[in-house]
This record gives sequence, C-alpha cells and structure tokens, in this order.
Amino acid sequence: MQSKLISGFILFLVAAISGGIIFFINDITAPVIAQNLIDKQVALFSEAIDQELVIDEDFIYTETDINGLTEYVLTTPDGETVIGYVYSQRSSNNYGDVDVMVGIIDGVIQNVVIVGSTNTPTFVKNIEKNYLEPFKTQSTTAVEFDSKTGATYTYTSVSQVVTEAVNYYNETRGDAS
Amino acid sequence: MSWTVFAVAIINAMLINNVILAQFLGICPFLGVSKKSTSSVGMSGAVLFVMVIASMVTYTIYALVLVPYGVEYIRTIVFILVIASLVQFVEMIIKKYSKALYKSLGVYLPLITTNCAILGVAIANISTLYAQDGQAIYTFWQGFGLSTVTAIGTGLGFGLIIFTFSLIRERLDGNNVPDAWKGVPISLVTAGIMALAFIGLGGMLS
Amino acid sequence: MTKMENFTKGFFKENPIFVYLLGMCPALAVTSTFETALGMGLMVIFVLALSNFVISLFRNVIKDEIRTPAYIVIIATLVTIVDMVSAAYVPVLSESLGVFIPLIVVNCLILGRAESFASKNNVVDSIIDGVGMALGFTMALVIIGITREFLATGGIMWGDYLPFFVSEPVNLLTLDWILQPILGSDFTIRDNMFSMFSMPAGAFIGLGFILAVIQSKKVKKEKEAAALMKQKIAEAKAKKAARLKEQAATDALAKKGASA
Repeated sequence: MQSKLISGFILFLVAAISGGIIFFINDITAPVIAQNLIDKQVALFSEAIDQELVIDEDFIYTETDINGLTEYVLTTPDGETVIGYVYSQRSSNNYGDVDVMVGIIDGVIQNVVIVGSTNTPTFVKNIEKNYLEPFKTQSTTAVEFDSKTGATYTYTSVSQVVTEAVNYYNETRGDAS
Repeated sequence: MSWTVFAVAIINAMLINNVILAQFLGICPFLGVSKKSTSSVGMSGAVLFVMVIASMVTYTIYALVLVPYGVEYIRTIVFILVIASLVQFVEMIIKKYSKALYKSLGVYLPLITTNCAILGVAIANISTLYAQDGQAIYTFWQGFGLSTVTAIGTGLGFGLIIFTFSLIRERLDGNNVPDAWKGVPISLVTAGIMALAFIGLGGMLS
Repeated sequence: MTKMENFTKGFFKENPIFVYLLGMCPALAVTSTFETALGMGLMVIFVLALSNFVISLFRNVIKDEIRTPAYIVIIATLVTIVDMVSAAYVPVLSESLGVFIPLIVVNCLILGRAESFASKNNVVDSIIDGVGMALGFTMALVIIGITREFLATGGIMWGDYLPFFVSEPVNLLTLDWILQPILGSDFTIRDNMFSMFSMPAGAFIGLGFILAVIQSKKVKKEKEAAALMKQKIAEAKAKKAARLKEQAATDALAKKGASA
C-alpha cells in the first residue's frame, strides 16, 4: 500500500514539474506565435495590393465575412481614408482547396495571390509563375481570363474567387471608391 | 447543419483523404500487421473502436476543459494519456468478455497506443474545428458530431486499406519476388500504386 | 560495449528506419523536401537525447507500475516544448510539418529506447545512445528527403523552411547551368523531373526503392556468408575424409607390422 502511495506521489510530481515547465515555455512563446500570425497576415495584404505596408503605421484593417468571401477594408490608422480592399476566399476543386486573395484599389485589381493550396504543388507553382501576372492592372468591370492553361482545375478555382470578389466589389464598393 | 455535411465528412475521411494513403498515419501497423487477413480485420475493428471513443473524449475535454481555462498547449499530454488509458480499458474489457478475441489480438492491443492514426485524428479534428487564433468555428455539439463522424470515416478507411492490402500481400508472398524486394520494399511499392489509384477518387465530391 | 560503438550503432547496424522499420510515418510524410526532413530530424534528436537523459536520471525512482504513464508524460512534455518553440521561431517549418510534430510522442523509436535502454543504463550511456540513434534517424530521413526532392524538382532548396545562414531561399544544387546551354534557355530542370515524388504515392515508391537497395546489399552479404559457410563445411569434410583415410592407412600398416 505504501509503495503504491509513493509511486502515485512520484507520478504526480513528474506531472507537476512537466506542467510547470510547459507553462513557463508557453509564457515565452505565446506572444511570439501571436505576432507571427499578425506578420503573416500583413505580409499577405502587402502582396495582395502590391505595396509594402507596416501595420499600425501605414494601415489598420477591418474584417467582414460575406457568405464565405472575406472582405478586409484597409484604412489609414485614423480610419478616415480607405487605402484599398482585399478579398479572400477558399475555393474547392477536384484536387483539393485553393485559398486566394485579391487586392483591389480604386476599381483596379492590384494582384492575385495564392495563399495556400492542397492541389499538386507543381500545378500551383505553374499558375503562380505564368498566369497570375495578367490579372494585375485589370479593371474590375472587365476582367479577362486566360482561355487555355496547363492546369485548369487550379486556374478555375482562382478565376472563381476573382469573379466573386470583383462582383462584390462592383456591387457594393464600386461607386463609392 | 444538414446531414450532407456529415456524409461528406465520412466520405472525405474514408476515401479522399485516406488516413494511410494520403495522410501517412498508421503506417507501422500497415506494414507490420497486414500479413494475414484475419488478424488485420480484428486489428482494424479494435482501432476503429478506440479511434471513435478517443475522438469523442478528447474533443470533449478540449472544448469543455482546455479552452475555457486557456491551457490548450497541454493538449498533447492530455490526449496521449487519454488514449493510453482507453487502450488499457479496452484491453481489460476484451480480456473479461471474450477470451478468444483477446488471444487472437494478443500483442496488437497495446500497440494501438502508439498508432499514429488515433492521435493524428484527434489532433486533426482540433485543427479543423478551431481557427488559427483559437476561436471555435462550430458550436460544441456540431463539433462533437463532426469529430465523431470524421473518426468513424477514418477508422473505416484504415480498415479498408489494411484489409485490402493484406489480401494483396498474401498473394505477393506466394509469388516470385526478387530477393532484394521481398517483404517490405515490394509492399511499399504496392502501397504507392494504391495511393495513385486513390487519387482518382478525388473527383467524387465536387 | 564501448562508448564509440554505442554512438555509432544507430547509423548503420541498428538504424531505426532502415533496419528496425520504426518511425515510418514521419519517414514518408516529412521527407518531401530535404529541409523538412532535416528539421524533423533535429527535433527528434532534441527529444530523444533529453528523454533518455531524464528517464535514465530517474530510473531508480520511477517504479515499474508507473513506468509507462511517467515515460509518456516526460516525452509528451518535451514534444510540447519543441512544438511551441518551433511554432514561435520557425513558423514555416512548423506549419509544413503540421500534425507530425505532436506525433513525435508516439514515435516508437523514443518510447522504445526509453524502455529498452534508458531505464537500465547510466546517464552518460543513455545520452550517447539517444543522440546516436536520433542521428541515425536523421541521416535516414535526410537520405530519403534528398532523393525525393531531387527526383521531384531536380534541385535541393535551402532557406524555404529553415531560414538560417541565408537571407533568401537558395537552390543548393541545380543542374540548370549545365543543361541550359545545351538544351536552350527555355529549359528548366524542374519542369522535366518526376513531380510524383513530392506526392504521397511517390513517397511510398521512393522509400520502397531505397529499402530495396539496402536489402539487396543485405541479401548479397547473406549469400556470400552462406557460400563461405558452404565452402568451409566442404573443406572441413574433405579434411576429415583425408584424416580418416590417413588413419585407416596407418591402422592397416600397424596391423601388417603386427602380423609380420
């Protein structure tokens, strides 16, 4: 009986020390992890509107979800002037999901970025290298899509997100820009 | 939440995102246990049972205990202890109620603890049901249903692949395989061809 | 065994992946690139060395009945530490390895070394064993990773996941500079390699090939040993036959001498 108590106590001690160590490490790393998330988001925004931005200095943003399409409104830190809009959505195709971000300023598409995807990496790289450039500087009222590409599934997903983003922008923000 | 979401989750977990061929979880039993079809059926039954109950228990603990107290970071320890105790518990029950089953499963039962698939499913459920910054995407009962259904699908997928593979392997052992390829290497190449075949199922849900 | 033998046994003779076939799940999942394989290997070195150290330090205090849960808690703590630190300081690697970082807990290698070695040997030997086996594990992962990445893309990238020593991702080995002058500057080697190897199917087939190569060497060794054994037995038989003949001849001579 006594040996069982001692064993139980030792187990408790091991668990307590482990818990303490983890708690301590968490104190150190949790802020860094949170900061990493913010940095990643800001980097994506910068890429989407093709400008270098520093959060809280150049801009702040608000996020709204419209039925799967997420709209980020980027404004100057005082909230007065709108810098631009970024739309993000996940589109599914037969190979998996593609997360796309579209940046629009004043009715002109700035950039289309593939944030992440579970499609075959070579196809995604192909689209990123060759077929995203034409989107830049296109007006939102008349977007041209490439008619034949080497990896149709991924490109179709990208075009789908661009179309939805552009349609939403034209309906709700187009005249207010 | 319509029932189609659950149906899609099962098919996704079982065939499209198959636990062995696409997610690489549970390879050790896949290569080690699948030599005879009878033992593989028993093993996958036990794994399915433990997986479903483990998913239910770990999700409940995570949603109702870890998140409200802000200690999500001890989830690895908590999950693996839950799984280990569950396996002990299952072993005790099987020993008591069915000596024959216990004898046939024998040494495989304790090995279920170190089966990557069970811990993998538990953690994957958490990542799909909670966003990056820790916010819950679904309500508790929706999440509970989704995680249970995913676990069922994963367990069925695991059993399907192991059983099919054991049938193939029984044939392989009888054939003329070059010495350098005997055993594990030829099984791996076969598994690769199976994985290629399963990519074709990706178009099922669109 | 000596300290040196203890350290090097993990590389070839008792390699966890190639000989014992432990830790197959990471071997297939994280080896799509050289960097992810190396990253996972470094994490396993950390966890295995420290877990062996702690478990061997307290091997007399932790009694048999609480052995398993205590080991699990210790290993899981170390894995949680690795998980948090990597999410904070190498987030790209942590995201790419995904669920396989917490799955280091159920890597049979770590629990296996704890039960079979660390619980029975002193601290220094246990640390050496842990580092040696983990280095062997890392070496195996890196071999698979380099093979798969080279076959899939024709080059080895550095800096994508482990942003150390370089500021921009750099391609360590690219054959473009040899092949482009010959085949025209439109040619990139990446477009002409087998991208299947970066996918799950390629992982299985690639690992199968590597294991077959290793097994062929083992089979050859066994065949040579069997042939050598056969030869030795034949020689021994011949010697015995010769000796018996001699014996019979001397016996006959002695008989003749006695009767004469």
